[in-house]
Amino acid sequence: MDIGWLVGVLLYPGFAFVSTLALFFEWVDRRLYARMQNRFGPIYTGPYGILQPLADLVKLLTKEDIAPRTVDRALYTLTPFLTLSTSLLATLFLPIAGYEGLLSFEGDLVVVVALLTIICILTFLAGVSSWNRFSVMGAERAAMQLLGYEVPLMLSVIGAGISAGSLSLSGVVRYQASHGWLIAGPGALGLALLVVASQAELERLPFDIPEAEQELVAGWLTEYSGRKLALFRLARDVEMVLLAGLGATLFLGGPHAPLLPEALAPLVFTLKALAVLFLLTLMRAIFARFRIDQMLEVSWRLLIPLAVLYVVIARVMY
Amino acid sequence: MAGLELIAAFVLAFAVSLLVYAFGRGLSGKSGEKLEPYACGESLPDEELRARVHVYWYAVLFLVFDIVAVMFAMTKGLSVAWSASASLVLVLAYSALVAIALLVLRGGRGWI
Repeated sequence: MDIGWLVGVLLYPGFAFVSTLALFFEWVDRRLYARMQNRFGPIYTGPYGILQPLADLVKLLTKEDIAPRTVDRALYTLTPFLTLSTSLLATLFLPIAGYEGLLSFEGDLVVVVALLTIICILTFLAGVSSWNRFSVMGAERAAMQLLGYEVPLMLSVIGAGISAGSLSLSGVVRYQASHGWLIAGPGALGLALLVVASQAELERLPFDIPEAEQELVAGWLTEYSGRKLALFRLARDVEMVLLAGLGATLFLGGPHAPLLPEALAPLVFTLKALAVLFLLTLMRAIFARFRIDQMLEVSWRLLIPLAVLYVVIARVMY
Repeated sequence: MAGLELIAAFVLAFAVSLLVYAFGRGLSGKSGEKLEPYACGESLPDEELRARVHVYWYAVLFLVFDIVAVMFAMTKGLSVAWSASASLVLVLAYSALVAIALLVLRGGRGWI
């Protein structure tokens, strides 16, 4: 641990860079989504409204911070911090500025997936600790959904690891640099599974059941306001970068592009993550919300068997 | 060394989230009504709210698949301990197990 590593973690390609990228991704997502619905989306703040997500974040940060008298105070206060720091921590594994992330060791794929599971558990705890009927119901739904979709996500990640013969992100990137991208092969199925599962993890349409606003106000987030809500919002954006980046790294070759020098890695990585983000946005614009039973059906009866099939194919073809 | 870096990185991440929180200080005071739990404008009695046990079944199910997935990963990762054909057999055996489990869980309880 030297100064260079510390600067890397805090500024580039660590927390500051990832947070900026997260706000940028939110802007891209909102603009694309709006254009697909024949709207403009954010246009006033900054050129083409690019500063709108930042403005929203700052606005929330300056708002009054209310904790209702009924909440379980310790859990209620702690979960926003833990959610943001867990998702920020997970992004350090992404190979943004080179073929290796800031944290990189054999087996880090499993760690990233474990961190995603911790985020699910924190979501459930945030809702339950609010002691509000909307929150508790939202938390129940969130737990059902997130745990169900965590499995195909994990299996697709592990399938990519098996294809590349390595359980580290940098190993998968190196394999793809010499053997071609994993998407050209059974990895296409893996990427499809990862994108659908990511959408459910992010609780976006058609998987916004945990916060269906017509039924549950804001679901597990109902009692959160001001700065704590800002932390959750930022964490959600960071998670979006994490999942889009994971898809780009595992199946689209990550920071590697043929004929381009490694110095251009951040640009290549961002463009590929944006390609995955485009799929996520497209899905949000096309579909309407699933019912709860349909959501469970898709996960346990469709995605998980397909994911197991993908892992078996990956293993047999290795 | 990797473990130490992981912990250090988590501490830094937590510090950053505290920093973001400290950056925006609450501007106004708190009045009594705002501290009531949100209830769509109705006055609902305070009550202990619990998540239904139902949800924990999914957690158990998740755990089962979680372990299977890790086993999948390990058959490849631990190629020193397992010969290639043995690990392949293991993977296929586990996927058969998962298939059977899915078939069994489809009936009966009706929670998937």
